[in-house]
Amino acid sequence: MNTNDYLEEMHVLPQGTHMLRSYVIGFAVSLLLTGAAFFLVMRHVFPSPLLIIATLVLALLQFLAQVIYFLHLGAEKTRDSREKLWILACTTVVVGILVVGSVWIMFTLNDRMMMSPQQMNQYMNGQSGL
Amino acid sequence: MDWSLLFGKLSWGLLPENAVAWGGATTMVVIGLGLIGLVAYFKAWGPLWRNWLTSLDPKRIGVMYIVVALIMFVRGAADAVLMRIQQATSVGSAHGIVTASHFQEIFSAHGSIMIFFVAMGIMFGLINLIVPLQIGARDVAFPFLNSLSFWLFVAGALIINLSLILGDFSTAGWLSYPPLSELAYSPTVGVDYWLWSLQISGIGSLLSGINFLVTILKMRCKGMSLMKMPMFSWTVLGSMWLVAVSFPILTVSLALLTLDRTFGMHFFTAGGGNMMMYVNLIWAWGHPEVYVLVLPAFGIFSEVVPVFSGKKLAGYASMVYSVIAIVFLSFIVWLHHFFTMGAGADVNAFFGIMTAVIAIPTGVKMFNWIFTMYHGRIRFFTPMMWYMGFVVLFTLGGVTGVVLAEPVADYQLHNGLFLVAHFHTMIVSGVLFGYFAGLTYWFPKIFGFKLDEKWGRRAFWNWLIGFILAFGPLYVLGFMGATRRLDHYTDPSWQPLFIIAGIGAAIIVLGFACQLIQLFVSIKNRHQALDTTGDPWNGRTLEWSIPSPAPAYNFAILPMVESRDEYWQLKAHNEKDVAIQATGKTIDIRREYEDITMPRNTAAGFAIGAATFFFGFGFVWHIWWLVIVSVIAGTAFLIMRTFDEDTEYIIRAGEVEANERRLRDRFITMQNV
Amino acid sequence: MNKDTTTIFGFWVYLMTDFVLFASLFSVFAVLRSGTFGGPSGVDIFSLPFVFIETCLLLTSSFTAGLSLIAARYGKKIHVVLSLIVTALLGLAFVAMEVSEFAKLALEGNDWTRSGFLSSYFALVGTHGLHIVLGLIWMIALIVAILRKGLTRSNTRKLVLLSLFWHFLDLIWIFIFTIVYLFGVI
Repeated sequence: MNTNDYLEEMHVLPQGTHMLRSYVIGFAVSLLLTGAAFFLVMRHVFPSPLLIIATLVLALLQFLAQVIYFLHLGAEKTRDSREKLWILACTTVVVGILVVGSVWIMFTLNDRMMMSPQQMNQYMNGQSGL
Repeated sequence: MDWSLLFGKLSWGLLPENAVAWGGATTMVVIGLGLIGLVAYFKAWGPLWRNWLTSLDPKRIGVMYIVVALIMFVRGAADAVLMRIQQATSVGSAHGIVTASHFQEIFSAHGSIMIFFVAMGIMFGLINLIVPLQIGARDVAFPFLNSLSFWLFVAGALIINLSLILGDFSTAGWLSYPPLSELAYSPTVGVDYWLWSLQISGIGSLLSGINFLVTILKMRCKGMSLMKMPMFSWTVLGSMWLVAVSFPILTVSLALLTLDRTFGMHFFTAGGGNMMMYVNLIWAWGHPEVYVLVLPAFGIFSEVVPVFSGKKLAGYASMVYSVIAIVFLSFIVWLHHFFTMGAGADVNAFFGIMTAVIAIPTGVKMFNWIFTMYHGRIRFFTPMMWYMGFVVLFTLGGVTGVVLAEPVADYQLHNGLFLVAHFHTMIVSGVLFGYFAGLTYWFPKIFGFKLDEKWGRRAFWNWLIGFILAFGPLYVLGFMGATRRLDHYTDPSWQPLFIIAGIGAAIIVLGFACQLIQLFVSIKNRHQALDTTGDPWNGRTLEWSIPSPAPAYNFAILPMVESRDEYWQLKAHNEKDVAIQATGKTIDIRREYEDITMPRNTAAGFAIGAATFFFGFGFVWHIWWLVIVSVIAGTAFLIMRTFDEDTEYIIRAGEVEANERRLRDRFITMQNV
Repeated sequence: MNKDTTTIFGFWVYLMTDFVLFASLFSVFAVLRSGTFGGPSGVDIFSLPFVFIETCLLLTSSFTAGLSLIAARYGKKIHVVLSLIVTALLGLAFVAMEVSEFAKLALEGNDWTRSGFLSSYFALVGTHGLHIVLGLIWMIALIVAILRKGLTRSNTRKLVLLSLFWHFLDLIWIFIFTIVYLFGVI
């Protein structure tokens, strides 16, 4: 019995014989990017705001790398593959709206509060027994 | 001995306290026992279990959804009537018929039930009934998942009704904002009932959303590209996409509130939490939810108007793009539900503008329906009547919505009766009228006979007049300063308007009674209203090309589609051929039939639903052993189902042919009579 | 359209809904991050080298899950089972490290009732951990099924779904590592 055919029919792996190479590249790139982010933060190479942007970019790059090399998205030019890509793109838009919108809304709300979370923290630290 | 280990927080003292609450509890028990008695009387347990409760046929699941939704509608409507009586009588020194806290329970239950168990129930019912037929499929993508969704929906409905009998219900409104819904201010089980009821049915809805999204994307018949898909299926696609990406947000909001209440976490309480985050999250789900409900209603009207005007839908492409626009916009307007909670002017302005912009794609739809009627040969059957009522009222509701979309005006109107009147206009005249039109329109396809026209019209006029009387005054009261959720007020000049609203509610109840009579009369006279052709309205889409009631396998031969109004085209091209004219090409015995594989019935969905019900019940009352047992049982049922290889059966080609022959013969006899 | 492709597509849509679920938890974390309420913040409680090891374990297990798919393509049952076992062991090690981290925090008095920040931290990282545990149970069931019946059509499909799930959980972890831990220390 050869499962080869089952997997072929399911169209999850790209055609050709470069699958192992694809996974190895994905693994290596991901390790490299994780290590780089870890190194940057441990050594505190840049000032904090720049560091945040740098690590976020590294994370997004790793996300892309894994989507391409582990999930093989868009490798096959079928309708199925195209629809998956579309759905991922649309979900990403929704996720972006949700996260950015929530943070935007909540931060302007906090701005108008009498006491910000940071001030509250300082206040609580000043209280005895806490 | 510590009984709390066994019974959690349960005790005898939790039974209802006052007469009205007892009345509610007794009514629910009587309805429940009545249904059980009826089944027992007809000795129908066996057939009910075999043909319905364990069925994976979307047509049967759809009917069950609608039955449950109608029972829940009775409950929700009873709540509404109580509220109208209370507000009509509770002025000055008079204090109405219910206590303040009971009134709060009533409006919380009314909102939750009407949205989650009535509107969602009828919607999933209609989708189950029609979408597979309309896209030329024999089934949904995941039949078992469909049954599971339904049983989770039932489990949620049972939990919310249980609160009538044991303990109390939430007093925190239909969305349970903290801090009121937190343990410190709602120490009883009310909010827990609300949380678990919605959580369970919400997960059911999420699974259904995934199921139908995949069904529409993957199971369309040959030739049906997305731009040839009937409008109802398009709107369902939009709606199910919204379910798939918004219901996880509901799951998270409810879960976090549960964690706060059960495990002392601090998401929305003092202690580093932020209660506004709950409001933000729940509306990030809640606004798309409104469009989840209304898009299928738009789709129904897009089917009804062309059929009863005898014309093709005007501006099909613009209808599709407006659905997509509404879907997108519905995700960037959620802040308009809390304009007044302290966000900055820039934030309010952005969300206000986006809200107003939604009027554009909705307007496109309105105009397209009216253009479809223009120069058409209009037949005023009941579905068309519901549409006419919808056009007028929904426009009114839309315009008041644009008023509320302005943050400046909203500061004046928020939390008032103007708002209550606005969203009822949208939900009743938009969603409910749409679903009623759909139920009347597709009823013959499912049951094989038409609903009575006369009683349908009476129902419509009662609903329309009742609605205007019930909610017209609320707009005015809103301007006069009446806030929502009042169990008592002091200004006697409001009372006449509240009384008119009460009369309106009574007329709506008459309308609903007319619908029940309509159902009864139609069943009694079904032999006069039999739909022998499968195409009672001179329809345009695939569902009318097969016999009524639709056979279990839907299509004996899967159709091939070449145009948008496929069945209409077919009829137009074969005007001479009476058999095809009236019965469509599937009843054509000269064709080659093949074996059809269908899913076998299974009790697994029912079993997992039951386990989930006990899980929710155990969690509400902190009966931890029950929680653990039901988790284990539910998981075991699920694993058993996964490793069950014998899930399908085959209808042989011979059987299919014999059945089709029988249907054809029946048709020919009917024609000769 | 065959049924397996439809199932895989359906699972993909499910993963997208899970993506939104995690996004909601991320936004809660982002908002409550400063709500430390007199308690510790990320700098005080996170040990980056510890988390870096966790991250590498999970990343490697994602890689080995991919290897099992390649083995399945060549119909090599033993290789599939072996790579699944390695994946499960790596996942188990990851869970063990996470549990020990949680236990350490709780013992120091920094449990989820301490502050909004800690509540959101436990909820976000805990939900991911719960997914990993479910994945492990699934993996064990699948290993047993493959050993008993071999790489049948249904087992192959389940393997594909599981590997998708596992890759997806690693994708989520990239953002937990960055947003929770790295940002917490910066």
